[in-house]
Amino acid sequence: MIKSICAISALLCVTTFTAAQVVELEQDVNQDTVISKFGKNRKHYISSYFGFGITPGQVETDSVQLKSGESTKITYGVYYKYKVAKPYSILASVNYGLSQFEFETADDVKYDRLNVNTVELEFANRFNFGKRGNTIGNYLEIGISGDYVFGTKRLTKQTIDDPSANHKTKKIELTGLTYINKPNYTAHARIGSNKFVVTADYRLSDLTNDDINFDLPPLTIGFRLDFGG
Amino acid sequence: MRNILTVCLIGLCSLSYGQSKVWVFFKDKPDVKAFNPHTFFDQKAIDRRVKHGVDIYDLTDVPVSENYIAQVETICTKSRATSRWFNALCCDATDGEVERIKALPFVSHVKTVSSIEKFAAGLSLHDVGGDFEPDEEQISLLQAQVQRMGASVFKDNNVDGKGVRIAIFDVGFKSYRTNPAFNHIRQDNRIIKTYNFVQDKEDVENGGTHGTFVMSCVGGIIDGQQMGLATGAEFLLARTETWTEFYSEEENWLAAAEWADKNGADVINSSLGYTFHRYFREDMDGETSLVARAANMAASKGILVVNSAGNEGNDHWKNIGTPADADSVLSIGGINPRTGIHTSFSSFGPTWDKRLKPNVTAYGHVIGSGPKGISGTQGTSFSGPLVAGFVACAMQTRPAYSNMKIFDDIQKSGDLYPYFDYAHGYGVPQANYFFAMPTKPRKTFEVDVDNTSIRIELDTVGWTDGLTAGNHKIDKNYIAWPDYVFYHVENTKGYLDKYFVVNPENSEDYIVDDLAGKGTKSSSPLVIMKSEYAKPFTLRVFYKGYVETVEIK
Repeated sequence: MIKSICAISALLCVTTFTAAQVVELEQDVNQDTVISKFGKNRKHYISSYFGFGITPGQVETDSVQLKSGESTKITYGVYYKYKVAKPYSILASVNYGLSQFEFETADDVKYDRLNVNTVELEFANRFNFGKRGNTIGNYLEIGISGDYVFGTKRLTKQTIDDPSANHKTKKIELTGLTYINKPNYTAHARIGSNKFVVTADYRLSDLTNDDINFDLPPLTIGFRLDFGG
Repeated sequence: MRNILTVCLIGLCSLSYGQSKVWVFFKDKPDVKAFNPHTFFDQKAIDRRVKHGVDIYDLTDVPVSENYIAQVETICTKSRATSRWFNALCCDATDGEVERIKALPFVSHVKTVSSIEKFAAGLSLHDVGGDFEPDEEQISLLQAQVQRMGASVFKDNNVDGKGVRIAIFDVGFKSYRTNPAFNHIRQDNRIIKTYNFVQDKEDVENGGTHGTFVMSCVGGIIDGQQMGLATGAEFLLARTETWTEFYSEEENWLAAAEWADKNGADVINSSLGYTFHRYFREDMDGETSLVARAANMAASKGILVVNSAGNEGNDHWKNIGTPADADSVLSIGGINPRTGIHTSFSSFGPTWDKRLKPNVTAYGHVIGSGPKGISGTQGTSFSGPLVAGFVACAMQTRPAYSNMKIFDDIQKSGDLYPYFDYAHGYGVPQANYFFAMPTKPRKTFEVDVDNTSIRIELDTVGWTDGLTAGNHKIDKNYIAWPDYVFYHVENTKGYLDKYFVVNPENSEDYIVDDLAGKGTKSSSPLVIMKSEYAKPFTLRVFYKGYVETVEIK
């Protein structure tokens, strides 16, 4: 009974104290000295990234040509890294990608564009160089991915130079293109230094099927910004 | 197209064959007989060794064999630095070159070091000052940043660090030859030497302004107002930091420490540190990093190394960097002039092996002098030099004391001493300690322990009766510091589990005591529940200079 009264009194005092006095600084030392398993150079790490690349190649046919340097690919994704050893980690990544191929056009056509939307699952090996602290550090990454094309669109915009016509431009939008292969396979190589990454992706499979007589260039070179870096 | 890919991949793979920075350690020093410390060292360095009982023929002081250096340099790509203390040469080498170096008969071992990045422990260093005439607000802070440590006490006793030589390691000292804050130093030719370890030349003007601000907080005077305490000290200025090559600072720091030792430095001020770029928090044990070992070596030569704790207090790293983790380094945290307690960015201790850091604190928000004028700035970069100036003054008052005895006294002069925590160390060092015998502080609270709780009843008498600090009274003219209660819980292993700073004031409890002619305040008791901590533990409480320790079984 006495113990209970003491405890209640103490609690009341605590309540009073809380109301009357302000804790300006409180530090729990033990919480600060726990070694985390999660971190840039720890066992587990998750980060997101944004990538931008240029597809520099050309179509190997005379029927269509790509505009030089204007075909691009943007990606946004998330990766998980598992550190196997100090210099070696394995990664799994999921990303959304939008490839945009710009075709050469006649004078009256403003653009002729092919958009390919993909979801990609990648597995990669990361080899780090040099000792480092809890940072991503400098690395070489080699990976392979499978992607699934979930949306395609061919867009053209043509200027109508006919005063008798009741419109000045004509836009054509074709979707669900059957000449694009849905599954594709790509090899990846990257050099990274913390958040800055230079990327090279090479598609191993043909993006188009036999319905058309050309394939699109397989190489994309670009950069990636690792938001966790 | 496939050719392009091949070229890319070859480029990527070539990374693995790149150069590394390595330390080559030698087995011996064959030139030991030719070593003459009297010609090698500045006389002040000899005097310091004699004073501290350090052997002037210490093997670690003998320079690295030039023959060894020459032989390694024929193999490695680029030689960077040598260390007589560690008998080693730092150079760039490929894997193949490393193997060839290892095969040399006089090489003990080769250690690859990583790329590192540094932080200058300063924040928001905006060199925006337009002139060198402080306004009223700046004067107020200027006075406070030195007076908080008892500047007037040093001044009354004609102590200004005279005869003490301070080496400052920083990123650059732009305008140090023209800055009016250093007129008094230049007039007396008290900038003894400079060296730029980044560019291997004497000019330290380029690189940045951070060092200029830091130096002003050690011993600058502007418009007749002290900016730091060591206005009479001598200076060695070393540029060790670089903005373009982030990966050489640790060996620059080591080279500068050896240079400072050779040129008779008594104090090193280093407002920099290394954290997550190269290390993990568990590496902050005072033994892992090169700079921590170098700093301890400097201390063993009789130099008192003062290092800023770091500005990671409110980010994911949170704790001190290195070399602030070194056992013999006086690590300095920052306090906020407005609150008088830990300022949010100041890195917390302890070291990973639970040693107390920071050791003491000073203002982390200051007025400094840069090339364009004076301006306010913040960071533990400036707490460190404020204390470095204090150290020089303390050394002047205790010329016979060793560096570590001064280290010890500076901790004891802290206004919280014997209380401590990992945000404030022993508090702000006080000049009074070096001139007056400590008086027994007035008891300012009662501790009542019952079965379930510990009740602390604060004595409100004399609440506004000036600020007492430890055993010393502080001039409160420019310093606003509420009378906080500090308490910590120490476990049986000897380190703190938790610590708190509590403001007991409550405006509702304010009572005017007309008879006393002063405001007095009442306060509710502070109650600590025993059940919140693993017993047994030690509770230590500080309030208005009085400290009481309670053992809870």
